[in-house]
Order: sequence, then C-alpha cells, then structure tokens
Amino acid sequence: MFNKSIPIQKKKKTNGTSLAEISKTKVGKHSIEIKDIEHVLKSALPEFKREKISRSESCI
Amino acid sequence: MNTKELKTQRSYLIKENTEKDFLYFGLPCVWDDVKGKYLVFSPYSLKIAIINPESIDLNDIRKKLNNIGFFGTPARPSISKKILKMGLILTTDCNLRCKYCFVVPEAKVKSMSPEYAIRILKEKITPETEEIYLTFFGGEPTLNMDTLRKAVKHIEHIGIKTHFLINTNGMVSDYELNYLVGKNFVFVVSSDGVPKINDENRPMLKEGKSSKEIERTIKRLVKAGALFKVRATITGKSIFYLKESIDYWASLGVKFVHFEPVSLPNPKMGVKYPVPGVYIEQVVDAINKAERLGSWIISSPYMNLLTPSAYFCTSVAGENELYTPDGSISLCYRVQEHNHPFQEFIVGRYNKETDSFIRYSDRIDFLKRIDVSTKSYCDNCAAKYICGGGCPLRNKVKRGDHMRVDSWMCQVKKALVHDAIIRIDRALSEKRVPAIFGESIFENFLRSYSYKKKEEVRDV
Repeated sequence: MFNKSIPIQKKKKTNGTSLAEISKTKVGKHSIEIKDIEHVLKSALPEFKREKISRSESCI
Repeated sequence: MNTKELKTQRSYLIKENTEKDFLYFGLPCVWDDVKGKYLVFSPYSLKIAIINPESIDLNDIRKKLNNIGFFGTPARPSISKKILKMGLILTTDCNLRCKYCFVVPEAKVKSMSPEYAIRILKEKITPETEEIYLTFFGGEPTLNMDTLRKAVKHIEHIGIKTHFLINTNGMVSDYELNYLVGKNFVFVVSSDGVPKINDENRPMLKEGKSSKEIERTIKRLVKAGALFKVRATITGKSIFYLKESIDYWASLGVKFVHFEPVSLPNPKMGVKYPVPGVYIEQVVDAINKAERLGSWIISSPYMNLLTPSAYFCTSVAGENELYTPDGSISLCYRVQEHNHPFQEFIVGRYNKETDSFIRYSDRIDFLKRIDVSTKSYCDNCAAKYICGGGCPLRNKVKRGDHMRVDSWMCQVKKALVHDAIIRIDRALSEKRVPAIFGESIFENFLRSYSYKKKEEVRDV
C-alpha cells in the first residue's frame, strides 16, 4: 500500500557523500554527464512506479 | 515599452529559447544556455544526459545511451480488458454559471437514471475485468447523488477493485461529502484561485459567491486526508493571478494544483485567451512559487513528461468511454449530446428498444488515427511525445482540423517543455523531485485509493 501521507517536495539534506546518482561517462574523447532521476524519486516516494500511460485528460 | 513592443519582445524570447531544441531519437533535447550544453531527458530510464554540443551528433554517444536503456517507444492507444476506464456523466445540471463552461446552460437539464447507470456497468464489466477507474462527471455530478450511490452500491456488490473519481465544483453538502470520502473517492475540485478571480469566473446560478463554499470543501477534504487536486481554468485575466493563487491554495492545504488555459473562450462573457508570451512568463513564475511552497503542479505541457505518448488524450484514443444522460457514448468530456456540433466524438448510443449499445466504428477509427505520427510538422519538435499533437477538439476549433496543432498551444508547450527539462536538471542538482511531476505523483497515489467494502463513513 502506498503511504498515504502525501509528501511535500522538500530539499533533501545532503551529507556531501551521496552523489552516486550523478555519473560522468567517457565515450572516446568525449564525456557526458548522466543524472539519475529514479534515485531522487525513490528516496522521496519509495513506492513510486512510472506508469507507461497516464490518464492524460487535460480537461478534467 | 508599449504593449505591441512587449509582445514582440516576448515572442522573440520564446523563439530564442526553443529554436535550438530538437527531438533526439524520440526524446526531448533542449539547449541550456547557462551550461552551454544540451540536456536530453529520458523518461524510460528516468535519467537526464548532459551533452556538449560537439558530441551531440556522435553515434557512439547514442550507442552508449542506448546501452543504459535511454530510448523507448511512446504509448499508443490500447484498450485493456483487465483494466476498465470509463466515465458516467450523471447530469447536465449545475448550481454555478461559469463564464467559460462548455455545457450549454440554456439547454434542458438531462440526468442519468440509476437504472441506466447500472445497465452501463453491467455492459462494461466483464468476467475479465480486474480493476476499474470510474469517473463521475457533469454538470455537477453531486446533483444526482441517487444515481451515483446506486452505481457505487452495484460495484461494491460485484466486489471489483474500483477507483472512484469525481469532478465537482465544490458545492457539496457535509452529508454527501462524508459519503464520498467514506467510499475513498478521489476528488477534482474546480477552483479558479483567489476569491476575486474565482467569484468573477465561477458565479453561483442564483447570485452569490462560490469561493466560500469551495474553500470550505477544500478544508474538509484536507482534514479528512482525502486525495484531491484543484483544477483551475486560466483566462486572459486570471493568468495574472496564478502565482497569487498558488499561494492561496497552499494556505488552504492543497497539495496538487492542476491548471489549463481556457479551451473555448466566450468573448461575449468577457473571457479571452491569455497572450502566449504572458502565459509562459506567468506559468514559469507560478511554478517557481510552487517549488518554494512544496505544491505539485499538473498541467498539459507536463502531463506526459514521464509517460511519453503518441496521442494527447486517453478518452479520444478510445481508452475511456463516457456515457451521457441522453444515451450517447462520447470520447470527449466536452461533447455530451448526440447532436453536438462536434458529434464526431460521439461514437455510439444506447438503443432502448433492443436494450443494446450500438457503436459507430468509422468514428472510433477516425479518432484513433489522430496521433502525433500523422503530423509531419511535429517531427523534429522536442515536445513531440509530451504534447502528443494537442487536444483534437481544440485543434478543430482553432484550426478547423483535428490533426492541425493549435498554434497557441504549440508555442506555449515548446517553451514550457524547454523550461521543464532545465527545471528537472536543476531539481536533481538540489536532490528534490521536480514540482512538475505532479501528474505522475498524483496517479501513483490514485492507485492506492479504491473503494472500501465496509459501509465505513469517516467524519469530515
């Protein structure tokens, strides 16, 4: 069961060590930075599941 | 600077912001001017990649991203036999006279009988149905509580897990609200924001201000711990009060705010579209405010950020049938009568003589074909699968063609999706969930709200 106390989105306290969700990857001479959204989502909403389809009805 | 110059400057700024954005193998790719890099957002892998301009076209980069599941396929219409999504339009009656309402107030009130509602449910619920999402809509659906209660009772009797949703204008008695909360209903409460604006746009049928009653309903829902969102319609005037309204809703305890620009403005009633540049600026400011207050934002430019889709609307795609009081089956909440001017959205009707439902397969097929892949001018747009080509009804009204994207919405969505991707990146750096993920967060909570078998009524 999803926890029904709806969280407000607070800035998480960082301890300066947990930066695992940001990684830099080298591709030949080039580098790209990748940030992980799931990590942040799961720590704020542990049972969050990305739906494939939303009920995207803007008028209701 | 005069108004004309201001508009020109704003449209220039919008163009400059979005002209470097493009669709990167199906994903939104936006230019971050501050970083001097491209941001590519992947809802499939829930990651964002920050790429130098000289690397963006490299095949090796794309392969690397592919290896970590960066790419995917946008959703297409699919009708599940296990999960049933449907709506009952209980009545066209309403106790408000909102200036932009699409239900014609002069028309004769039509309400759905309990017997007909149960007949619909018997038709739709099959042995394969495992879960139901049932929306009660109107007019004001709480003006036909007899039918609503009997429909709920019928479903409880069958015992299938059902998520009940109701769109209400907030004019609900304590007695009825207690009943709905007790049945774990999820609420959409229409509110246009600060009382000054709400009362101007949403007057009572028989004189008086609706904001006090809406406030009362919201406070009762907050106290009861019910899941709800407020839904605001934004006009050319109310856009200037959006930021203030975000503050106002938060002060009442609202967590989820859904706003959309008015679809079919009525100049005779003094309702106008917001100017696109003004709309974008004010929405950006309002979201900044929401981020500070901890409110979740729901709005069509953000609705499919995490659920990319080739089409705009679940209903028009045929996944959510709506049953109207006059016996029609509609695929659009705005089209509630068999002889409506946009009757192409009416895809069937109930035949009382044969006690059967007839469907118009040509119209269903036509509506299913309206997806963003049919619109060549969307091919390179960063917002392609977030926008899904826009609302077909709005396109028809504004451009005379369901498949031609309304240019107002096109401009607004491009700018707000650009802002959204930069906003997501910034939120991640601050280790917080972006406020604009409101739709997906709301849907996640919705999954856990279903009816209770016991006749348990909580006091509000």
